[in-house]
Amino acid sequence: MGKKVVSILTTSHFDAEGKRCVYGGAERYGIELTKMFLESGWEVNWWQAGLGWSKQLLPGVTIQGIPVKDSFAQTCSSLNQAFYEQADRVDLAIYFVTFLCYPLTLPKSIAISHGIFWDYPSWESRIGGHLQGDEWYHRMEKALSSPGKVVSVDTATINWATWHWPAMLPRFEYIPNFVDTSYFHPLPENKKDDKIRIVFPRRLTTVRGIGEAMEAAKIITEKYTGVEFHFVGRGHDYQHERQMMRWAAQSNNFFYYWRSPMGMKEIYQHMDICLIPSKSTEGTSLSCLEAMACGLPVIAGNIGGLPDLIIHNHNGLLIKPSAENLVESIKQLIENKEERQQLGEHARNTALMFDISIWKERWKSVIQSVIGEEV
Amino acid sequence: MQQKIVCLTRHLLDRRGTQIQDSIFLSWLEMFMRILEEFDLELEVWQEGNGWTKDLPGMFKIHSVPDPSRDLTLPNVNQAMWEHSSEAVFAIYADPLLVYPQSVPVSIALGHYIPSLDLINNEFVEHQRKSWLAKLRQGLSTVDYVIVNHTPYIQWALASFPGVYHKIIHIPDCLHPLSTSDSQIEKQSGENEVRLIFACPALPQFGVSETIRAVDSLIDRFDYLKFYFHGAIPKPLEKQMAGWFDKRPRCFLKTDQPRFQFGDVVVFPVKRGPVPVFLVQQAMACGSAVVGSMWGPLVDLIIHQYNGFFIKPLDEEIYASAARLVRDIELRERICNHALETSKTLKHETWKKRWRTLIFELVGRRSIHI
Repeated sequence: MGKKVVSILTTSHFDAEGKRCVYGGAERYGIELTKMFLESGWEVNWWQAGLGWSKQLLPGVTIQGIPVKDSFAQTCSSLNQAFYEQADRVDLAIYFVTFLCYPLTLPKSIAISHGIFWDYPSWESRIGGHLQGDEWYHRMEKALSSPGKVVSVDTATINWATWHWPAMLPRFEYIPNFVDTSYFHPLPENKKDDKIRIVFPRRLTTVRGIGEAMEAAKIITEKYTGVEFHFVGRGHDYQHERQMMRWAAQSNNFFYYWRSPMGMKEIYQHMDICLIPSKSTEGTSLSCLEAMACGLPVIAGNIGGLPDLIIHNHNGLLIKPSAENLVESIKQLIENKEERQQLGEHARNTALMFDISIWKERWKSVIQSVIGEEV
Repeated sequence: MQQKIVCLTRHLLDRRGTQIQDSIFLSWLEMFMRILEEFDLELEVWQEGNGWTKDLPGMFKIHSVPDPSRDLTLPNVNQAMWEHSSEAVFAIYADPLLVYPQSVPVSIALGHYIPSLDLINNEFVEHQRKSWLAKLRQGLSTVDYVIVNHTPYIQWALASFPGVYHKIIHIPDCLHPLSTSDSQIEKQSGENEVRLIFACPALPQFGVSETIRAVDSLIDRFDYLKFYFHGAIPKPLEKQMAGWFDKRPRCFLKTDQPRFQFGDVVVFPVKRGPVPVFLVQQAMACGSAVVGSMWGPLVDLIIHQYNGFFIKPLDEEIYASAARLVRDIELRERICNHALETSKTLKHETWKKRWRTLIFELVGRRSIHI
């Protein structure tokens, strides 16, 4: 008997020309999902919008760039249809973004929601106005109704969708994101100085609260000279990153650089506090989980999937991420070492419940329920 | 003379004013009143009803106004309260829909639960849904602040009406002060038995049918499991419920308040409706493992498999989670310990401090309007 085949449809793991990898949290999720299928003896192939190229994503795993027309109402129905025509002989189809299930869905299929992405103020104008918004809503309903299961990385999406369409509830499966807790772990306390190091481990985008974090950094370092802020993440482009470097050069307490996802371990292990002050478009952040696994207390925005990870004052602080609130929360943790350590300890214990091994087991169970066979 | 705060709610008492209908909100108001007293403010409540006025001894006066509206707004009550509120320092609307058609100059709305459009009225058609949403949006944007007790409300508001974030303040509920004394009693584990509790009224929105069906299978499978039902039972169901319990010797129908310190697992398979947040918190504070739906304030209290279990309120999910907790003592103990730890963060003093700050600001705003 041949290997089982899974085809995964996404919008853009690489850019349209297939030259540059767009490497964010969702793409890391895709790689781990691929590895899980490979470990289980499946053949995996990926499809995305692109200019007709084909390349290797991982050894033995191809990704095809399908030429498609522009997307309409923030969905890609021509990509969906091209995939439907070309990938019909698969044992399982995974729609890596929920709206890719519109308008046609292969019989044994799972869609993934990485979190709510339509919750920022300019969403409606980005989509093309109110009428396009109604059309998007219509397509979203169709997309969520079609696959065998919808895996959601957070409860917020399930809440929103089942408020609009209550009958969809049984279709949803909550599988929060993961962290490899054997790799991301705290170091024994061996601090050689009294500095407090605070990390902002996100892309430099407004929805991630970069502006508020920079403002808080200025205010805090004026009062506490022994506090360092480390901004660790890529910008939109090189110009944006240069601007950030110039800004960080203003103060000996500011640092700006970036690391590969696996290289983040050493960063977290040498930090005292982590900031995830997201304002929108957030799921169960991988950065948040990795920081927690390394024993850091996280100050997080109270939106998206972050409340699925953080309980206020138990394993971190959950706040409305204004600069003022960030300053207050950071002060609270700077001045209370014991509290900081206890939150970090609870954060580590919490992260153990999100270990990647648990994530894989949950996924296998969902796949089994869709294909009707043990994985 | 004491200055007053007015509060508009839907049905704190039933339409005739003979019995309590919304015990969850009443418990909240009870706590809230104590803070108002510190400011020398008195509370006056308005609701839909047959036109009666009642004094709840030691608490507040309630006025009722008839209102035939069927879309969860109460324009008649809203107007009646508005006409009688020229002296009010500020108004509290129990949910943003009640702000329609107009709000008192200084006002807040509470976001304690999100009614589902499709479940509230089976005669709704598209244009009514749109009108309902417009009224909801109006409510959210008209008041000075929307005070939510759970973060899923924030996410829902942002995803439905982007741009209202600045209006929203999150003040999570605290452990009810009257329940803390109960939680001090040491946990009483039964020898060689596991106790499962359902502590909500026997109403569909609390998942009573799903629980009863799951319990049927659970007690067949585990001969050391006991089930305790502690909720109120509507009259028409009394006989049927009593019959079910009579046939099952390890299932007990109780009319008193739940004693969570005698429980090991407590289920809250709440569907779309207000979550009895004080009961959930109390169960956690007593070191019970909570199995609850993944919405409302439960999301802020539970991390799946860390200090409780998230489920969809379906028979098989209640069964699977409860069965796991019943048979795996180590897992149950770990979850109970984490639940107990979590409950220590739900401090009454923190809740009071945040409300005091807000009330102080609202009182200041009122002086600008005079």
